[in-house]
Amino acid sequence: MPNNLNPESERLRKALDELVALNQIANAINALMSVDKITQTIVDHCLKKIQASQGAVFLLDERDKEADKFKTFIREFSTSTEKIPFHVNESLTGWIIKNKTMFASNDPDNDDRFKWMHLTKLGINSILAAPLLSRTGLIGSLILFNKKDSEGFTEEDKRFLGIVGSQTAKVIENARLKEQEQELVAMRQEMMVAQSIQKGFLPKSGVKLQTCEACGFNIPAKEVGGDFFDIVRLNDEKVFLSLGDVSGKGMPAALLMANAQAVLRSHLLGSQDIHLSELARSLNHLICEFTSPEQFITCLFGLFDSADNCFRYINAGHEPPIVVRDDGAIEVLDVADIVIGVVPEIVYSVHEIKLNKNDILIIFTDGVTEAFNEEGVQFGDERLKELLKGCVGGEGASVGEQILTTLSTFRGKSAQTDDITMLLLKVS
Amino acid sequence: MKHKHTFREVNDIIVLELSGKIMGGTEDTTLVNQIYEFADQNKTKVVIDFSEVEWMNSRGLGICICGATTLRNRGGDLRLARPSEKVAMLLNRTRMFTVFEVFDTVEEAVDSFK
Repeated sequence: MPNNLNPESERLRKALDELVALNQIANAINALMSVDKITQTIVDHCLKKIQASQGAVFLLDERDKEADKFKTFIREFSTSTEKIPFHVNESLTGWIIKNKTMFASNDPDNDDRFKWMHLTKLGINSILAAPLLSRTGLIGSLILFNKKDSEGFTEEDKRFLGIVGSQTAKVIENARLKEQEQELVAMRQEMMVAQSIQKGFLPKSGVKLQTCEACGFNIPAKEVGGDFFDIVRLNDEKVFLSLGDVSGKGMPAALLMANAQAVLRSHLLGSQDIHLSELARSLNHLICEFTSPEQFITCLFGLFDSADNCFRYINAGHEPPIVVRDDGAIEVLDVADIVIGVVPEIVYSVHEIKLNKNDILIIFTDGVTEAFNEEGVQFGDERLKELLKGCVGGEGASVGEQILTTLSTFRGKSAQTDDITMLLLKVS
Repeated sequence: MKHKHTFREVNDIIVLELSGKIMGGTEDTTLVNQIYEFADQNKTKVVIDFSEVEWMNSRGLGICICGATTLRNRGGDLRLARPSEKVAMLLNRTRMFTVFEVFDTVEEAVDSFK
C-alpha cells in the first residue's frame, strides 16, 4: 500500500505546487500594473517555477494586426541580459503566429520544426512556448529557454505555462485598455490646457469708447478651435477689430490661429498709424511662406475711427460683414480679396463703410450661417438677416446673445460642427 | 460617407466626379490621397466635376488647394467644372476663382488642357 500511495502523494504535491505558483502569480499582479510590469512579473514567476534560465514575452502591435506580423512584435521583455538573437526571435514568433499553439522542444537541432534555426549554436538547448490568446485572437507569446536540469521541459511544465498563457492574455488585454484609457485622459488634460491657453489669447472683455462699443463671442466646436477675434483700443478715438477663421480644425488650426493673431497684434504695438494693406501683405507673406498649401485663413480686420465714424477694413476671403442700420436697413458688405496664405504677391484693398449713430456692425465666421439643424438644413444668410431685422437699436452684447440663442434653438440636438465667432460694434 | 468620388480618364486627363458634402473629414483624406496617386502616376491634369456636390466648406477648399499645388508642382493643374450653387458661392466669397480655372462644363475644362 505505501508503494501505491507514493506516486499519488507525489502527484498531489506537484498539483499543490502548481496551484501555489499560480496563486503567487495571481497575487503578484494587480489591476493597476502596467503591461510592462505585468509581463515582467509573469516571466519572473514562470522562470522560478519551471526552472528555466531565460524567458520573454513578445506582444503583437494591437493597432496593426493586418501588417507584417514578423515586424509587429513591438514589445519584448526578457529576463536575461543576453538578448535573444533577432533572427531567432523572428523565426520563433513567426512560427507561433502561424501555428497559434503551445510547443516544447528539448532537442531543437534535431526537431524538424526548428533544426534550420541552429539554435544550439546560439546557446539555446530547449524551448517552451505558449501562445497568448484572447477573445480577439493571438496577442503574443510567452517563451522560456533552457531548462536548468538536463531532462528538459516536461509535460507538467507545458501544462503550467499553458494555464499561465491563457490567463496572461486576458490580464494584458485589460492592462492595455487601462493604458489606452490613461493616454486618453492625459490627452484630454493636454487639450484642456491648450483650450485655456487659447482662451487667454482672446480679449477678456469688449472695448468702450465715447462713440462706440465693441464686443466679441467665441464658441469653439472642439476643445481648441481655429477661429480668433481681437478688439484692441488704440486710443480714445480708434479701435482695431480683427476676426478670422483658419482652415482645418483642432490643434493644427489652433497653432496657425495663434500665429496669425500674434502677427496682427505685433503690428499694433506702439503704433498710432496702422497701414491695413501693409498688415495684410505681411500676414499673407508669412502664412504663404511657413504653412502647407491647404492651410489658409479667411479674415477681416480693420479700424473704427470715431473722428469720422468710418470703419476701414480688409476682407481676405471672409464672410461679408453685415451692418444693421438704425432705420432697419440691412447692408451686406460684399467686397473682398482672396484668402490669406494662398497667393504670395497680392495687394489687399482697404474698404470703408460709414457708420451712423445706433448702427451695428456684425463680423462673423461661417460657423454662424453654416449651422445645421437636425434635418440637415443650414441656418443660412437669410435667416441671419431676418433675425437682425428684429435687433434694430439693440446693444451689441444683447444682439450677440440673441444670435447665439437662436442658433442653439435652430440646431436642436444636432452637434455644433464649426466654431462660432462674432464681433459686434455699435456706434453710440 | 459624406461624399463619394469616382473618376474616369479622357485621353490623359482625369475627370474626378464628386458628390455629397466636402467638409474635410476622413473620407476627404481619401480624395487627397487619390490626387497624390494621380500625381505619382504622372497623371497631372485633373478636372473636378462639382455638379453633384451639395456643399463644401473651407476645409474642402483646402483639399482643392492642396491638390492643385501638388499637380502644378508636377507640371499639371487642377481645374474645376460645373460648380454647384454652394460651391460657386464659396469660390466667390473666398475669391478663389483667381486661383482656380473654373468652367461651366466638363468638356470645356478637359479641352482647356489641350
